[in-house]
Amino acid sequence: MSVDNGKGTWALVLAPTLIFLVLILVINAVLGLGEVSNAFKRFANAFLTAYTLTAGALFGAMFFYADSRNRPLAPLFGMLAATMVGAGMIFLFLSQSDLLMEASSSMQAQFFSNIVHLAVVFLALVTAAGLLVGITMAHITGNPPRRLPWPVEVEDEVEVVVEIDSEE
Amino acid sequence: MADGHPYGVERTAFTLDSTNLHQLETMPMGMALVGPQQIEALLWFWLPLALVPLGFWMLLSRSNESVRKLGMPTVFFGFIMVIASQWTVPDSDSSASGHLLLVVIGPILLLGIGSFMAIFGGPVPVGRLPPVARPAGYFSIAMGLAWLLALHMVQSPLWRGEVNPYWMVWWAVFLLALCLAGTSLAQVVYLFGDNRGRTAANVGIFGLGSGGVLLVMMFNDGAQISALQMRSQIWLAAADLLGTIAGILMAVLAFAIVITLYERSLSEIEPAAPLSEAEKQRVSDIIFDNIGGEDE
Repeated sequence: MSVDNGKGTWALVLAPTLIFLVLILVINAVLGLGEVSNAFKRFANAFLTAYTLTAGALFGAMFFYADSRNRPLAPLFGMLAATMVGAGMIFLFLSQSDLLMEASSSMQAQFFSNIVHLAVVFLALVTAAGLLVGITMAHITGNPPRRLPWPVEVEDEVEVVVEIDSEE
Repeated sequence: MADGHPYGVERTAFTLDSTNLHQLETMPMGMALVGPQQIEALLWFWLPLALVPLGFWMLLSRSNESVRKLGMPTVFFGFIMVIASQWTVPDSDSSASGHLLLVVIGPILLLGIGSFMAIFGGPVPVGRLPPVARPAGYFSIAMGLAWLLALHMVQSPLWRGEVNPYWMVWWAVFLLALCLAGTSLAQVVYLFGDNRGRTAANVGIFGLGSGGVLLVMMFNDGAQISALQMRSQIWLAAADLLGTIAGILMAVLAFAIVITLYERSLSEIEPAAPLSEAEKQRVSDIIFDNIGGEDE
């Protein structure tokens, strides 16, 4: 089955994932959860740290873009501002006493803890994504389509095989 | 709970008898920022950790060949030093992540090498490996997954006498990502692929199987991790996963907005004036020299 790229298609792609996620969380909640009062803090810390570090990395990537545009300063400053907004929000929320503090004793500790935590989550994500892509590609290369989309020049060989079969 | 270390992490059951941690809590802020432990952690953990993205950034460099060649050694050196941080800075709680990296590097290598062999052991047009590589690749993937499962069911990685807190985070996020991304990828292959229903089914079954493993762990205790702990970790892993993905997407959106705004602000290029006779003659000469010139 092949479909055109459209909004409905992406909804179809994401729907099973979201349903599956909700199902897992519902079963999880029904069975009983332990200490998960930090869940919102974990979400907010992950969001702010991922945003700030990715924006910082993209600020670095902006230099490559600037190289191809006679080094304009406006997009560099724009991306730097986007990064600083994230860093400022982290500073602001972490300094608000207990708002985003998990178990660390200081703002500095929480900040570094967030970075290590993000690195661990990112490693898990990349490993899972790499494994899935590897398995998918292995299936695709292992099961080529019966009719290739490009012309194949093997007609002579096929004729030989037919002749051998007929002789037998 | 709170260990008070400036580079500390959440450590659920660690005894707070490390005097250095309490000293830090009583230190003035200025002293805590430049304490010897912080400098050690900076040198032996944070700088090597920073070398990893720096090395990848160097790999992308197009202007300088020598910088690009230094990229991979820089990444490798960073990884090694982060793994070694459990010995170089044992007092730093962040080095638990180095311990985790050492624990999972074996299964990850098996998964990576297995995927490579399974892909190129098939009938690919370039770089084909011997046919035995394909089953060997699948075997390697199975071994990698079995190794990870054994780390939950047989012996979990211990850090300072407790289960490494980062192992629980990594394991829950890995399984959750595997089942969620697996079902999504199956849909992508089915919807966008041409006659790829069987492949989509296999990837979907793999994703559902990961979900099944996740469910089993919700009900049954592991070697050192109880079912209740696992359920908590899965709940928190969902928060981590959603927060991380949302943060990355927001940053990419900001990047796209910055570029779009800049491109829109550019004035339209005015049409160039037609060539003068002298310019036309010059162009003709250049073309003639390059196309219709004398044979050398």
